[in-house]
Amino acid sequence: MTFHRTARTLSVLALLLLAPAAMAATYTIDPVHSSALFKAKHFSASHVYGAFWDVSGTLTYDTADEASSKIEIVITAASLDTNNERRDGHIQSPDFLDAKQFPEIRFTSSAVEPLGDGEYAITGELTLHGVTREITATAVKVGQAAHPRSGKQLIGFETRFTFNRSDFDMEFMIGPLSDEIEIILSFEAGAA
Amino acid sequence: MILRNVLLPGIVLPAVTTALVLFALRGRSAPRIGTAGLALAAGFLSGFVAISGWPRWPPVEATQRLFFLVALIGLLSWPVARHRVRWSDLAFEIAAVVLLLPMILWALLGHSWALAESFLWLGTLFVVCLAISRALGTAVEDGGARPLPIVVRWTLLGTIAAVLGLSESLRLALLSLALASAVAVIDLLTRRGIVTWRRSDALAAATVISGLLLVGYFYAALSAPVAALLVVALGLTTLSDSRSIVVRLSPLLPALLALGLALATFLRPGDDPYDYYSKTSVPLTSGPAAGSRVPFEAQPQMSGHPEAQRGKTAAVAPYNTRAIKMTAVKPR
Repeated sequence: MTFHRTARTLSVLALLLLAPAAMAATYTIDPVHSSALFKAKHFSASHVYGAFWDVSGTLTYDTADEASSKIEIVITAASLDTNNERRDGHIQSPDFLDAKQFPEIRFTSSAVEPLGDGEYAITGELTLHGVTREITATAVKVGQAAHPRSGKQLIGFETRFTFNRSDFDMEFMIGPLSDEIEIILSFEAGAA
Repeated sequence: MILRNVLLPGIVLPAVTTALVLFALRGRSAPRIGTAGLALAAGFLSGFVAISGWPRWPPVEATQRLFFLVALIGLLSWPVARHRVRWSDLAFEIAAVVLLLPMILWALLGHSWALAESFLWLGTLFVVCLAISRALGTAVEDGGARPLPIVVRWTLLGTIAAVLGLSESLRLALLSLALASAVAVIDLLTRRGIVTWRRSDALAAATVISGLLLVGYFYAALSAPVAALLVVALGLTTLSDSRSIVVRLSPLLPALLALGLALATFLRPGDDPYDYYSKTSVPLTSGPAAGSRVPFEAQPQMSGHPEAQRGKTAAVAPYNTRAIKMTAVKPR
């Protein structure tokens, strides 16, 4: 009797432990369908846009317990593109991003707070130019669907946030180029 | 904008700071020994703060580490110059170079470079940086307050600033200008007998120059030939005591060659995507007026263009329509 009772208890415990894990899925961010755009003000006269085309990372998304979801995004600094080779080189130089010293821009989430209507407040550490700071951004779930050919589950999110580049030790030429930088990040991830 | 962003932080502030430190430390009758290095470091560091802001502690970036190393060298140059013992200058220079190299190359050592490659680079650069340090020390000690070595020194420092600016980094150019400004003040005051150069005083300048050239080469766009020519020019400053004017002016030749090469590279036609249009020599027979907007995919001859292949459908405007055949496109 004791043996049966013990076995039953262990089975229930195993189900309780495994059940949430079965709901959480790991997705890999698809660089081809992901973009990181940035906007800065030039001489307080206009907005200049640019993009990073190499966005990668992983997303662990739990539909049953969204607050336990995790995301890590890695952007290659050298993938910067402002449609002008000379400007691209300047932004990647030690004057700004210093892409050869700091080849990656990384965001790792520490907390996810569902806000309802597909919106989430994601808090995490942004590492840029060798400096790590905590930021919170609101992300919107764009959608979720199965790929018509492979059947793989796809999920997409988009977020906009701003930061001051001086907070990340990029203080050169503040004035001609704004301190505040706006980021628009949109990514698509496929189930691993 | 030039006054606020270039002249004030790059020239005026370093010069004023250097002069203030020198006058604060000057002796009553004879020039104080060892103050030049401290004043030079103070001048450069004040320019650094004006240009790049206060560096973070602990430093995360190569020029921030250079800031703290120059501060240390500036503080130590005074006791080293005053309590001179045999080989103290050489030991001081070796220690500075040994600290400088890993500080600047931290991002590459053990990350991008394998172990063997790291040792190869460190060994080579140790010799180069030590040679620069020895040459500049000899130049200030032997050349002293004489006009010709001073002119050569200023031209060399100005050339380094210009070359770094042409290598995609205005910040490095301004930092180099801050150093040149501090050196110029010391040179002017040595001619008035207020201060004297010692070999150890030049170490702060040598460290800044080596550090900025290393950052320019490994992290900016300073090319190997230009960097090599500048190193040769710096090495030739050791001949500042020669009797021949030609020999004393010899550092200027590789320096000006380096500047010319950097300028030629900077002025080369860029990888402008719109250059593609001007290369097509077919005359325009019909189509939209010059300056009107036409999407890529509407132009048959653009199908192989990298921009079209990347799926960029943003309109191109304005562009040189004279060289493009636009028969397939109707004006909107």
